[in-house]
Amino acid sequence: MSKLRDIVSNKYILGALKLSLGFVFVVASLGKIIDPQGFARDVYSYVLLPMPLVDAFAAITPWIEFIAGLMLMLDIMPQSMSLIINAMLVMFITAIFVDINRGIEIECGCFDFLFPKEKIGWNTIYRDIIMLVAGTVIMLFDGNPVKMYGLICRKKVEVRKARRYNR
Amino acid sequence: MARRTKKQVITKPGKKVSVPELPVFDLKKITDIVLKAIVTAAAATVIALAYTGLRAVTGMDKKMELTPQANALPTAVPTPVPTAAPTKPIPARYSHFFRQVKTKEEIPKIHLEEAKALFESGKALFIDTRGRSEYNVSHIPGAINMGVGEVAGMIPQIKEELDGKVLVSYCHGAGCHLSDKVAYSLYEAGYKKVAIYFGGWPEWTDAKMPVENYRPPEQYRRLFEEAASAEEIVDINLEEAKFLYDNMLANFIDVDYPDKYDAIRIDRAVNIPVDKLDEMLSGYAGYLNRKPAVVYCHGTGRKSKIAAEKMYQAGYKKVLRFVPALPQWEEAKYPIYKKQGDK
Repeated sequence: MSKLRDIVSNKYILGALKLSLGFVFVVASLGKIIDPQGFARDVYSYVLLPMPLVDAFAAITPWIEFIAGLMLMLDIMPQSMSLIINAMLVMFITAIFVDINRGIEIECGCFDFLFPKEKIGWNTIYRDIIMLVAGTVIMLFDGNPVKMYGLICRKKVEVRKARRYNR
Repeated sequence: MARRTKKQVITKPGKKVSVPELPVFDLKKITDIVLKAIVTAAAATVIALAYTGLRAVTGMDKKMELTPQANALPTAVPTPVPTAAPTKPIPARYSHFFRQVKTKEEIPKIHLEEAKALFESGKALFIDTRGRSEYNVSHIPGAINMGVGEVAGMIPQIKEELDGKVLVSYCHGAGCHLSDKVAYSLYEAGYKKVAIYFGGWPEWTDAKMPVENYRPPEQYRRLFEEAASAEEIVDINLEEAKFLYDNMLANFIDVDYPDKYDAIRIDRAVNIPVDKLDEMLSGYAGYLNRKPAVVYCHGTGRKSKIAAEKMYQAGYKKVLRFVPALPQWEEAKYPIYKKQGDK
């Protein structure tokens, strides 16, 4: 178990996870930012949110995704950014799950221009769960709050760490 | 000093033990993380609102309204499409569409003007890449429905229709790339006279261009008509229900209580319990406007009668009753959802 923790705390693994997860979200959000109406149509087709909220949701969430993804890629406040991303993933998984059970057809998805048209269904949920696992690992095992790959606050952080654990 | 991934702990004077860093679950740190997340999300929200305002002010797009009318069932009598439409010769500046493209990147992306010209020339075949149910409701006249995964399978069957024509794919407009993918698949299959109608269905319908609505077979035509009054809501039989189900032409609505719905239901049916119907209907407006609704319950039909009348009065006049639903459906072994572990 502690071996697993070792592997997962490795800064290269975490760095790779941050880069890839952040990249995925930046790319996904760009399409929605460029075409908010198309995204609003997709949100509408989920038949989950009441009408006035659909537009607000379609306008705001892509930007949250974009900024969280970007900051995650840059390794700024990775734990907080992965918390945001995890929350969004949980929301997507729940929405898809509810709609699968209601039998509502949802056709165009979130990665319209990246992945071929696949009926939104269990595959999407599995994909989101994998991303959720990555996000959770970053959230739990990443270290200091502001990092930028160790480029800033290096000395201060090390001294603080040493003081905290060497009582 | 090199950075270590393991922290160093002094247990006894002089003795150092390496322990891997544990996720620290102290409240202060968690609060810190959560607060930073909230502040970031709030900042992103402000940026989003500013961006939306900017888009609105610069008129980058129309007011962000959804276009349910593009999806609504045609209430007017469908305009009969003239079978031998008088064709207009294609203007010279569009003649390049009839040349074979040399690379995938060269596939032209067109908008309304060119699409209109191609349509009127009679030499184009439109490929509707949306879902079957959307296509069934309404499509560009003469268009055939080809989803992204269906191209390879369908080509052998419709070779004669595809030959010699400029194939123009379309879907939901900007942001939807089903049309791109189908165009590329067609190109790869050897059809090099292709174009992608980027404006798509919304642009076509906004410009009030002619559309072809679904013409149901003669014996099912009454299923798509509005009931004359709440008392005259049509009762459908098993065969009609199955037809609607197979072609995804109606929304199936289970109006019984949730526990009955959870235990057993027609697969893909949605639950709107009759006692909650009034409050729930508004949330389903967009969904219900698209197709006729088939209403059923688990009992003698009393609930479905009440529900159908309520829906009619709420303005959903294309409502049908299916009674008795589950006994017939189950006996015919049609798709049913049953909770595992029951019976």
